Amino acid sequence: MPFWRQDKGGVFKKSASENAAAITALTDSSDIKQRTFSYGKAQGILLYVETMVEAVKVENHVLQPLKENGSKKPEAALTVIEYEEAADHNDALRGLLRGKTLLFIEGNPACLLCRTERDTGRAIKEPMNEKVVRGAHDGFVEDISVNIFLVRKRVESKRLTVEYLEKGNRANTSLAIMYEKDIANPELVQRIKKRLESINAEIIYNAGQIEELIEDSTTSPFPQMLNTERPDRVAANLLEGRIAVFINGDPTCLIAPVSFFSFYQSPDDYTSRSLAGSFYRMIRLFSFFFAILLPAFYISVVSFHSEIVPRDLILQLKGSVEQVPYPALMEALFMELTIELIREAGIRLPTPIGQTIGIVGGLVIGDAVVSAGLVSNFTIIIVALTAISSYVVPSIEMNTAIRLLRFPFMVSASLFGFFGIVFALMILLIHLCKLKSLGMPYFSPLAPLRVKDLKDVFIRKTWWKLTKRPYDSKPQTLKRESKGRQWVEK
Amino acid sequence: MGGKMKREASISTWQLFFFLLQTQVGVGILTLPYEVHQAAGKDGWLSILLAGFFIQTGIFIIWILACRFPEKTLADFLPLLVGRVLSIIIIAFYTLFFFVVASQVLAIFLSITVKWAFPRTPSIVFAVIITALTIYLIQEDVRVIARFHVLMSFLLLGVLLVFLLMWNHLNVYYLLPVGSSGFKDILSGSPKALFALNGIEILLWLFPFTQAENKKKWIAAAGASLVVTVIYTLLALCAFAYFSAVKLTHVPEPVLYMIKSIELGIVERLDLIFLSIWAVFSITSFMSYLYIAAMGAAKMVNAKHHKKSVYVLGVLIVPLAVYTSNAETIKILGSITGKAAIAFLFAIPLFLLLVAIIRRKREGTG
Amino acid sequence: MKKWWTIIPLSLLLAGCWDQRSVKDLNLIFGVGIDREEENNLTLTVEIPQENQGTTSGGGGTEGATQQAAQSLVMSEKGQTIRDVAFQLDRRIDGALDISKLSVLMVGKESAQHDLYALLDAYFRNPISPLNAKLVVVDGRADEFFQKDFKGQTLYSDYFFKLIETAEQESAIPVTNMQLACNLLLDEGSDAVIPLISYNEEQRAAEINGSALFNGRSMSGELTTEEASAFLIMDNQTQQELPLTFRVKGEEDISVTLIDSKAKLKVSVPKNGSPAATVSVDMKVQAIEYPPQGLNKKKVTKTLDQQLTEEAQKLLQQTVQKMQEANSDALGIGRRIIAKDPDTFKKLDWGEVYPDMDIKVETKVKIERTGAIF
Repeated sequence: MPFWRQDKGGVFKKSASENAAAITALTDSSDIKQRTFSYGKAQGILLYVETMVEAVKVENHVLQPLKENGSKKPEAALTVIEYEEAADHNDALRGLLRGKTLLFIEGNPACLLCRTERDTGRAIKEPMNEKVVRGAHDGFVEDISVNIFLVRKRVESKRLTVEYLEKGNRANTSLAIMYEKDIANPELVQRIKKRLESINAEIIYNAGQIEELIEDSTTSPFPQMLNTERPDRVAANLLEGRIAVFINGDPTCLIAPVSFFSFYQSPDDYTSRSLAGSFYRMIRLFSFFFAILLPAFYISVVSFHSEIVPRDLILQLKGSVEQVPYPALMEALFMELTIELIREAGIRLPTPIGQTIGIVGGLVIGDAVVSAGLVSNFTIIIVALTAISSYVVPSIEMNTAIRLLRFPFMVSASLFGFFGIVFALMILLIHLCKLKSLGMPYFSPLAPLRVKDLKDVFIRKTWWKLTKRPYDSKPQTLKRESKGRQWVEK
Repeated sequence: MGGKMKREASISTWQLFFFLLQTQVGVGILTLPYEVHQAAGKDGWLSILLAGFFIQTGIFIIWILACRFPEKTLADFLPLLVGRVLSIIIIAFYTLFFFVVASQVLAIFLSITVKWAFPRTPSIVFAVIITALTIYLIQEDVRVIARFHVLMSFLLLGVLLVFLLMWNHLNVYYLLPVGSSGFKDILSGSPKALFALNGIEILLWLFPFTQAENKKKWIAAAGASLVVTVIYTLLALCAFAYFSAVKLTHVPEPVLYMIKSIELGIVERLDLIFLSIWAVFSITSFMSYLYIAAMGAAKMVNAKHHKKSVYVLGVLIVPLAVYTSNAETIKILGSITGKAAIAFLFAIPLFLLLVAIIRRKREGTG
Repeated sequence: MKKWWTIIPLSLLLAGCWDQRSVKDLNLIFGVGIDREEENNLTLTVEIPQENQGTTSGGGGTEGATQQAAQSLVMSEKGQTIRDVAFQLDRRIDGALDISKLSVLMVGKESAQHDLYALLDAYFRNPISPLNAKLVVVDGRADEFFQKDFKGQTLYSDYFFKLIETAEQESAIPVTNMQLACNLLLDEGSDAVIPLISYNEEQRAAEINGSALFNGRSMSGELTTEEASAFLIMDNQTQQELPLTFRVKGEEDISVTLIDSKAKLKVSVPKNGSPAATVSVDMKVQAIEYPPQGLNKKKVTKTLDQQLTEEAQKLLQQTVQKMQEANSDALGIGRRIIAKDPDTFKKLDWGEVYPDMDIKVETKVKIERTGAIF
């Protein structure tokens, strides 16, 4: 429980210094500063955390106006944009720790909280792992209010609703839920609120923690909430009736409910022409199967069904595999793990060295491993193709899911060949049919099949034909308020 | 119990359609042309059509019966018609029937797998894996199963591809003259087709779960059965027009043999890929049967959820299927279930319908 | 927890890989030759390519695997059945013999003359054998054929396979494989035609040398390549190209290639009496070589059409006659009779009726194109 809920805070007295002393008694830190000044005839005390406030703001908007307008009421004198009266000591302390300046006036049994927080944050930049070629290049930052600002600037809707929550019993992190009130299904809003309310943690570190605490299935390899750092993506999803969750201190925004296919949509699809967008989306979806099935397919061909290799290729395949002493599974596993190693090493190292590692790993190991006869040429091709395909997906969480998934497929293929792949694929699809995102079917619109929604899944139809919202988030209104190309004469 | 409760897990008409389709399309794809050829020669495809016609009549009877109780499954409305004791006996028989058919499907699957692709893998391994993944699915409610079945129906395109690939090698003269085998032979071939086309009885369970007008449900059921009949007939026609009559008597899985000789530049030996597609169809129909059997079993012991009965039946079916997965037992059991299917498809529903009409039972009057 | 049961299937997997047939352990058979011997024995010859992919030259795959021409190992053995011989051979080589990539199956001529189908049973019974392998009859013995020296060739089966494919495309032999051919071997209403291959001593090369005609399951006659082409025209089986050369009046030669041909087979089955058949062929050809030129003149083309028709008629008739002599119903006339009147066919002794049957041939040839010049 946060401290302000644990017990009732003390009541303010008439004496300003007593009040200030009561607050400082609750917390003990050397960056808490106290400033006494004269306010008309009375004495005033300012209390603030030095490291949290903007000194200029305190000076110009609190101290100076109060000093100059001693006759006015303090509320009238202050020129800060926002102030409120603290209810009790705990409330005041909470404000203090958030960077507010506490104002006590002698003879007045109250405490004013003036908004003087320092707002330094990093600049708005394009998110590193969601780059697009065309389209908006802004991305979320760590500050929740900036993030909400970025979305609001895009969606200037009167129905856009933000609800704040504070979670983290000790650290007290702000969360915000955002949705379009007349589109998002109220049942889902209720559901996500209920799940968020139930969070009982000391601190909210990041979005991943929230995700794990509120998602439907934690054992599934698939992410059930979309993580994005792009305001335009959030805006588009809000208008499809989905709900966004912001976490202060994390530039990642969580979106739910989502379907499997949301992870394969990229803002790039919508900025490019419909034909190109559709083509690349199909390539991306194809890459999913490629990434999980290709090594499995190779293993089953080499160790079970070599007869399906065309006549002209079989001798080359045989020749290449023949030098390798290990079974195909070992070979492929070895190379796949090597690629994972290279990836992991590349991430941790600074960029220039990371590239070097990539080159050393990719070229040198790849080549040497073949000439040493540890791995066959074909395996290298397969593993390289698989690695590339698994990085095609525009979402980093889905990417990890895919990279993990191919290992069970490989093992199953090495046991039963094609049948092994079929079994594994069936289990995967059953799992996807069972999986839910915020209670909504995850594999929609394929399961349950909704043919109308497929036009924004495998392909991207032209904008003006997407007149209905997708059904998977059960929006209140399906119809979009837009009509396109009315100028075309019939 | 049995009162009107809102069924939360409901399926749409399309889902009903594909559910029935996936139940019907199964192991029969590979063997049916051979089986009907044995009985009716080159006119075997007419036997399939005839069997399709029988099935349609069965659907009609079941539909009329189910329409009287649109909110109830067979197990729910049986007590109203024939009393508690008899109803439990009938449900037990249906459960047993579906259970045996499920095991039969698995047994045929195992025997063909051993013959074609995995001669040394012990049958029990596949039996356990398939049962395990079946249990993984069918412990869920009907909606999830229907979703999965719809998803898997995309593979039907793979079956249609066969026709395209075989087109050049078909010789119509092998089929002519139509009907020369005589009506008697054609009729005798249709029970064999009945086993392959079997599965529509599950409509008795799925009917109340489907959210649609009664008429649409009938269209879905009849449509599914029609599509399956057409697919099987086309496959048989394809096989008969490809193989000469004598050759057909040598090949128990003519469809696979046919595909085997196709030559494509990219991939050779398409039969292996077709076998994988066929595996999916077999498993889905196995899933449907086992699901309905588990539902029946759960009803019999008055269990709230069918989850536990799924586990029990799953454990029981593995040894049964493995034990019966030899050609001889399959043949014997096949002829028994083929005959039993007639009873469960026509006789019992017809009897129940008559009882309902005579005793003027409808939903709400009980 | 509840998921304990997943352990059961998982533990089963640990035993795994029963049916693994790793490609590196297989000795892939590319070509097979079969000869019958006395006392119901047979000789099986197999060709196994020995890929010797030299260690890739320094730098690895940059210039591609420097693949040397694959050598092949040819082995023959005598035994009772094909599988029996295969097991004997298996004991002699490292790795298991594998039939899955068979591309050419050759049968000696003499062996083909006694029940070809019986020799192939092993291949039909085995699910991994490819039924799209080419089936050919060898002029002479198959084992000797494999031992012959073919100029510039190392991988014989591959060479034969390509030879056959080219000949198929040029409509010198029917497109066939084990499956299609055996389908016809077993058919009561039509007979198979299988390519015939022979060795040219002078050129040290293999040569497609027409086709073998079958009566039921046994070989009963031969067609030259021209006659085989004529058969394909009558059976509507022509492929991309079909070159024909005729000597026309004035000792002039003309080469034509078929653009399009339509053949119609009409069978009449009178109630009491022997059945008769008519094959009418309508060919459209392109002149590809005609040194006298002048094909722009209507008179010339007309007489040429006339003469070509006569020559083609002669060829087709000769082909039909040969097929009748061999008692090989390759056109499937019997099948047509069954389709029309199955009861009559049952009464007929088809083997007796066919050779003396009246088969008329009607031909029409027309030069449609003349190439780049007239």
